[in-house]
Formats: sequence, C-alpha cells, structure tokens
Amino acid sequence: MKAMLHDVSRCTGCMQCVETCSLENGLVQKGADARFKTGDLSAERFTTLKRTREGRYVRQQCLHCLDPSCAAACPVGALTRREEGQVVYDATRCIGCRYCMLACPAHVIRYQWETPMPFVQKCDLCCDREGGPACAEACPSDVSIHGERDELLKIAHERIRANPEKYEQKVWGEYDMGGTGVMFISDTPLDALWPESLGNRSIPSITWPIANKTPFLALGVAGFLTGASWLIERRNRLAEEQTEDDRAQTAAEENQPWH
Amino acid sequence: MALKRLKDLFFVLALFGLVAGITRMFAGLGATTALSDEIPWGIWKVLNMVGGVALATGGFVLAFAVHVLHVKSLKPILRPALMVAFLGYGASCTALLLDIGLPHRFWHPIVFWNPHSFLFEVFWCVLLYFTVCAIEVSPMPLEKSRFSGIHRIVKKISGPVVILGITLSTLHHSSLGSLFLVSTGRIHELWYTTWLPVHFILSAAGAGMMAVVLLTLVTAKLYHRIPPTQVLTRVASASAIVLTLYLGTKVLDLMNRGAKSILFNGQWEVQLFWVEIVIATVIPISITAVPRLRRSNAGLATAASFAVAGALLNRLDVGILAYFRSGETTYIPTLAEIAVTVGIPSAAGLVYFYFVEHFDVFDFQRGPAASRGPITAFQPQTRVWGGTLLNDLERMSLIAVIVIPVALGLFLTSARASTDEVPRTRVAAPTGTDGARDVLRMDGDHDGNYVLFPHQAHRDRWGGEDSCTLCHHMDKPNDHQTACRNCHRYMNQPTSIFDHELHQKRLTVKLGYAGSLATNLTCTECHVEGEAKRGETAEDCVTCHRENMRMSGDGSVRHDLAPAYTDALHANCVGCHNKQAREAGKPHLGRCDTCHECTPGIDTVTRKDSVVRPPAGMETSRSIIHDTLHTIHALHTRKAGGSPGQDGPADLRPARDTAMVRRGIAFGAEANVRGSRGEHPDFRKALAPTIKTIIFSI
Repeated sequence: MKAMLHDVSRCTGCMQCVETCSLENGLVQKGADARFKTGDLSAERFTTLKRTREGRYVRQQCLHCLDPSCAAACPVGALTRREEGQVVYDATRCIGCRYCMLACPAHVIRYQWETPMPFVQKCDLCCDREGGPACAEACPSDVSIHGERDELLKIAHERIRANPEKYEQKVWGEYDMGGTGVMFISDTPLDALWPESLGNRSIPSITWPIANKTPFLALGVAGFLTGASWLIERRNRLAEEQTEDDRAQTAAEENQPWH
Repeated sequence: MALKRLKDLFFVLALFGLVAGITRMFAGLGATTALSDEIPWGIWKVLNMVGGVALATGGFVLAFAVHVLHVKSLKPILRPALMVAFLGYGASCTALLLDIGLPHRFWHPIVFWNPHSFLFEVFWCVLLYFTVCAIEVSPMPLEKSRFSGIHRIVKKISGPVVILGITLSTLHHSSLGSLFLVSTGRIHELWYTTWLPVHFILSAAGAGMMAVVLLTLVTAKLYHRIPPTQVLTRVASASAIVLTLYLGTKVLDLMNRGAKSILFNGQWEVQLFWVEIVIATVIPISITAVPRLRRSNAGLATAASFAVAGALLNRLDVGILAYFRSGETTYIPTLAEIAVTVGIPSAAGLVYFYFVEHFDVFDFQRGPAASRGPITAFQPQTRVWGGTLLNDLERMSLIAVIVIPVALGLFLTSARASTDEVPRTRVAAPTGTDGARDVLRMDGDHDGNYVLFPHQAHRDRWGGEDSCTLCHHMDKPNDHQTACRNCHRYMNQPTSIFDHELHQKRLTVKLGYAGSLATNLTCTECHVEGEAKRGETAEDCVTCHRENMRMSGDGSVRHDLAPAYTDALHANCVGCHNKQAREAGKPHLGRCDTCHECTPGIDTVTRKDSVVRPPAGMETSRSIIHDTLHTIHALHTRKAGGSPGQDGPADLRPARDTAMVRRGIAFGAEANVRGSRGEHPDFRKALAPTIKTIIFSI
C-alpha cells in the first residue's frame, strides 16, 4: 500500500514540492514562476505548505485516508480508493454535486469554479507516475518520503525512537481518522491541523452503520404501512357491516307488525 | 385583483430566475454564484432542494393519514397536499439540476451506483418519489381529459403507489438529514448530531403539514372561497404534536450530548439556534395550543407561516450557517442565486394556479363564494390591468419583453465581471492604477517605492489581452499580482547582482572612454544604438561572462536575466556542497537548512515573496554580496586551515548548531551547543548579521 511520510522538522519551507507539483500536473501556465505563488489549495494547486504557530511548515494535500469519506459520500462512485492506496478521481463519472467537498474531513478537495464544465481537483499521489509522487522526489531536505505504508511507519517510529527528545511521540495519520496514507512526524504538536472531533474514527465508520440500515428501514416501513392500511380498512369495513347489520336488524324488528 | 398582481409578480420572478439559470449554464457556477471551496453548497441546494423537499412533506403525511389510517375527514385537503408535494419536488429537482456542476450528467446515479452514499439514496428516493407524486397528481388532469383508460389504470395502481411513496419519503427525509453527518467537526455542535435524520424527518413532517394549511388558506383567500377551517385545525393540531415531538427529541439529544453548557454562551450561533427553535417550534405550538386561535383562520395562518419559516431557517442553519465558524469565511448569495432561489418556487406557484383554475384541486372551489368576493363563478382566466385592455397572453409577453433584458443585463454583466475583469479573490490594486493610461505609477514590490510602469508597453510586448494573466492571476485564490522582480530581478536596483553603474564605470576605465558616465557613450558597448535600452536589446551577459550564468530548465543559458542573489549564491555554493555531501559522506551539507535560517516569526515563504529593504549601512548590493562572500570565505578557510585550537574544523559545527538552536531545531546534544556558544562569541556575532542580511535581501 503506497503512502507518504512527511518529517515536518526537516522542512525549510522552500516550496520545491509545490512548484514541482504544479509543473508535474500541468497546473501552471507556461512561463509563470510557481515558486512565488503562495496561497491556499485551489483547483490549480494540489499541495501547499501551511505554517504552524511554532513556525513549522506542514504539507497540505489529500491525505489518502484508508477509509476515505469522499469515496463513501460520492453518489456516483467517482472517487475511489485504489488497492495501492491512492484515493483517485474519475472525471468521467462526476456529476458535480460537490458532496465530497463537504465530506472531506481534511478539507482538501477543490473545485474548478471558473469553468462552465467544472471538475473536482485534488492530489492523486501521482498514482500513474513512475517513481512515485513528484513532490517527494523534488524535496531537497528529505522531508517527504514515498513508499509502502508499513515501511514508512517503521521508519517513522525508528526516527522517533532514535531521537525521542526532538520528536513528538506520535505519528499523525497512523490511526487518526481511521488511518491515512499521508503521515506526519514532527518536533512540534500538529493536533491543531487535524480535525479534533473525529479522533481515530473515520467518517464512514459513523455514517455506514446508519446508511446500511436503509433497506431494512424501507422494508419495515413498507410492511408496517401495508399492514396498518389493511388492518384499519378491515376494521372500518367490519364496523360498517356491523352497523348495517344492526340497522337492518332494527329495521326488520321495527317492521314486525306483531311486535 | 390580488390574484392578478400575485400572478404578475410570480411571472416576473420566474423570468428573473430563468434568465439567471441560463446565465449559470453559460458562465459557470463560479461566475454566477458566491460558492467557494469553503462553502461548496449554497442556497440552491440548501433552501431549494433540502428546504423545498421539507415543505413538500405534506403530501406524504396526508397520504399516510388518508390512505393508511383511513381518516376520511382529511380527504378534502389531500389533493392540495399532493400538489404541494409534486410541485415542491419538481422545484427541488430543477434547482438541483442548476446546482450540480455538470447538469447533463444528472442521470449518472442511475447507472453508477454507490450505496454507501447518502446522496445516492436521496437521489433515488427523490427520483422515485417524484414519479410517485406525478402518478398521484395525474388523476386531476386525467379526470378532466378524454384519457379515461389511463385514469382507470392510475386508479388501480394507486394503493401500492401510495405505500411506495410514503416509504420513499420516510427514507429520503431521514437521509437528507444524514447528508450532513459527513461534515463532522465542521458543522456547529448545536446542530451536528447523529440524530440529524430523526430531527429532519420530524421537522419536515410538522412543517410540511403547516405548509398545506398555509397554502389552503392563501388559496381560499385569493379565490374568495371559504376555507375548510375545521379540517385545517385538525391538521395544524397534528402538526403541533409532531413539532412538539421534534422539540422533545432536540432537547433530549442536547442533554444526551452534554451540550447544555454551550446553550447560553452568547456566541452568535447559539443565538441563531434559539431564534430557530422559537420560530420553528415554540410559536407554532403555542398558537395551536390555544383553542380560540387554532379555530380561527388568522391564528392558523400565523402558526403555519412561523412553522414554514422555521423549517427553512433550520435547513439554512444546518446547510450553510453552521459552517461559517470552521471555514472562517462567509457566504453572501449573489443576485443570480437569489433570483433562481425565488424564481423556481414562483414558477411552481404559477403551475399551481393553473391546476387550481383548471382542475378540481379543492372541494371548496365548488362551494359558495365568501361574502366579500365579487366573483360568482370560478374564473379560469384572469384579466389584467383594467381587464379589456390586454388578455393574458399579451400581458405575459409584455412583462417578458420588459423583464428579460433587465435580467440579462443584470446577470450577464455581473457574470462577465466576475470571470473577465474582477478576479474572484481580490487582488490588491496597485496604487494610482488607471487601466486606461499607458503608464501607471505603482508600487510593484510593495516596498514603498513608486515607479513608473509602462503598462501598455508590457501588454503589447507579451501578447495583448492574453498576457494579462502573466502578471494578474485572475483565478488563483489568495494570489496577488506578480511583483516586478519576478521578471526584472532588480536589474537597476542597488540590490541587484547586476550593478549597472559599476559596469559603466569599469567599461569606462577598461576601454578608455572619456567624460561623465551619462555622456561617455559606454552605452553602445552593450546596447544597440537607436534602440530602446532594454534588457532584451542589450548584449547578453554571457558575451562577457562566460561562466556562472544561470541555466534555465531546458539547458540553455538564460541571458535575458542576470542571476539574482538566490541564483547567484546558489550557483556559487550548491554544486560544491552537493558534491561534498555525496563524496565526503556529509549529507547535511546538501540540505537547505545547513545554510538557511528558519527564523520563527518570519515566514520564509512570505519572505521570499516580499522584499524587506536591507538595514542601514547595507544599502548597496555590493556591500551585501561582499559581506556574504567574505563570511562564506571565512567559514571555508577557517575550516580548511588555521590552528585547530581556535579556528579548526570544529568551529563550523558550533556555528551551525547555534543557528539551528535559534531556529528551534535541536540537532545533536543541546548541552554541547550551549557550551560552544560560550566559547565562540565572536564568531556568532560576526555571522548573525550577515546571514540575516542575506535573508532579508533575498
């Protein structure tokens, strides 16, 4: 399972990753100097550096969750998680409902608002590129490394063990939100950048138990309605018949001249 | 008269909506709406779809009461309720069609399934229920038409269809609530709960019934008929019970989650929550609780209006307003958005009037007119301004002719403005900008120094209109205009590595020119005589300097630009550093942070982008370069030679460590660093200002 590990303590904020990403994905107009384009993620920028209060630079990009909320939310299955671990987008299926943008807990999915035929834009971990993500390759300080998730976790824990005073004792993304493909180790806490309310639960783990009850709910409601309708109708009919019988009987009794 | 005016108003609003919708189709969502990556769902989804569907719930609730519970007394208002459902869902689907980014793919969920998705569930339920509604409503036109065969078929299948409809409604009203379950941590905790599906279906059922009550009352008023108040009172009472249930679950849920503590903390969200609770539940319930009020038309209408408004407010809160806190952004719908949001229900209202006037929707249509009504017979056609002057068609055409150009002008200009002229993210306007002038006075690097900028010349040189985005990034969020130095690299500024004056002086001496610099004709050594003195027309730097020129990506020499500090110093150092890192087994030499300081408090990303003027005494480029090179040279020579006791190779280590300690990254043993800091105070003192100067000047 492919994944990426960011060692935040090593990042100097040189933006090589951002520039390379823009060039690799063809997001920048030719001649423009991507290095100077600061700012948040957008449809033209799949990754960026966020500065923390402690002065560290943390990569913002699709986290490639192990249990991705966007894939669960997409009504047409345009967002899926590959077996190799990347969460990828199929533009041919997308209808543009933008539900994935609401669903993403990391808030990294962007939309091409300016075009009449817009699509969703996000990092796909350069899944079709030989040699892994271009940003990891471009990093001059070895902040980002790409590889198998198990091995990366091993490396991360080794680094923390080898330098326990420097690093925070946590690999962000190992368990958070059900585990993510993009993980961080750091010498300052990164909790502020992580959605606090979720903890180690993924969003689908909250929504699926509700969603999977739908068929039973449907059958239950339909069954109850049919039953109730039939019962009440029968009761009404019987009551009416009863009253008619009674009426007939009274009428008959009243008509008896000898009574 | 009131009816005529209302119809005209609806027609005008519907036309505005239509034009706004067409504009959206051509110009795209970004140009016509205020949606952003922070608030991706706007009022089209939240009010028209989620809210509209909620108000259309009356159809399924009354169908349940009449067909399943067999409450005969409610039958008179079953048809209007079904009309509400049919039109409400139709309006929602239309709004959704405009809202999704690729409307021509609306059918995709039929083919591509994802049962994990609540939206998939909603789509299917809405699609099927809309069909069911159409079947349930179809008897109204069919019984007046000649297609009695179809009418018989519809009557035959109505039983299962009703059951199917109620089931689908139950499902998708709850899944509309579940839709927002995915936004954990982004919706305010007062609204976000796993009980959202329950809340949604209860509030929809309550408000849906009230919507039917309101519609019946309004219709009766408009057509001067006597409303079936007794029936409406029963419906309103039932609705009040449901709303009480809704309030109960809400309170229970808040207690359950321990959210009581935040109910009184004075945040604006909390106040909004209270307002919503009062409007949506407390007021309608209290009005309905008073027998005198619930038996009067005015009381019923008030209660129903509050319930309907409350339900819409609730959807608006959950769908948009509760997001503001986390997104740190606001969303103010554009004119076009409001036009569509209002226009679609208006169009639905017109269809409703058509149904009421042509088919048997209400029993009371055939009833006697209310005392004040002058209409004796039910009028299928209504007349306009003075009646005889214009018939319906002519009046509608007249309104269309007036409204459509106005709407087009309104929406198309604003759409074009947002795509072509004004960038979505406001770019700070250069001081003294006047786009019409050829030369602008501007502060191109935000450093307080104004220069004359030949705007028109730049445009002509780079390809006219198409070149605007080379400097003005129309569509990059948070991006500003490109600073001059991105192209010019301070060619003639004292901070540049190319010192124009120095070159002139050197050439004067070397080639033996006479006279002052301005008049001694050294210009022609580099610039072609008769041509504008520009970088492109000058001799390439590479003509004289054959080494150390910056290579561009494709391997050619970039001779139009002199290397800036970054490139020059990098070119001087990085190659050797990398070589040493590889060959001498010192990987730290190849890393950026070996030479660069990451000073907390100064954003290195911003720093590269904004020019801080060098401190006093370091104004000229040469002195900075000189100092920098001198320090670097000192570093290297001390490392190589010198006496090991004071200036040996070990000296480099503490210096680097001190720098690293300053930037908060503890490499190696910190105690050791502290010790060495004391030993070499002079070195640190010598190094610090220089490094700082490099950083400030880059």
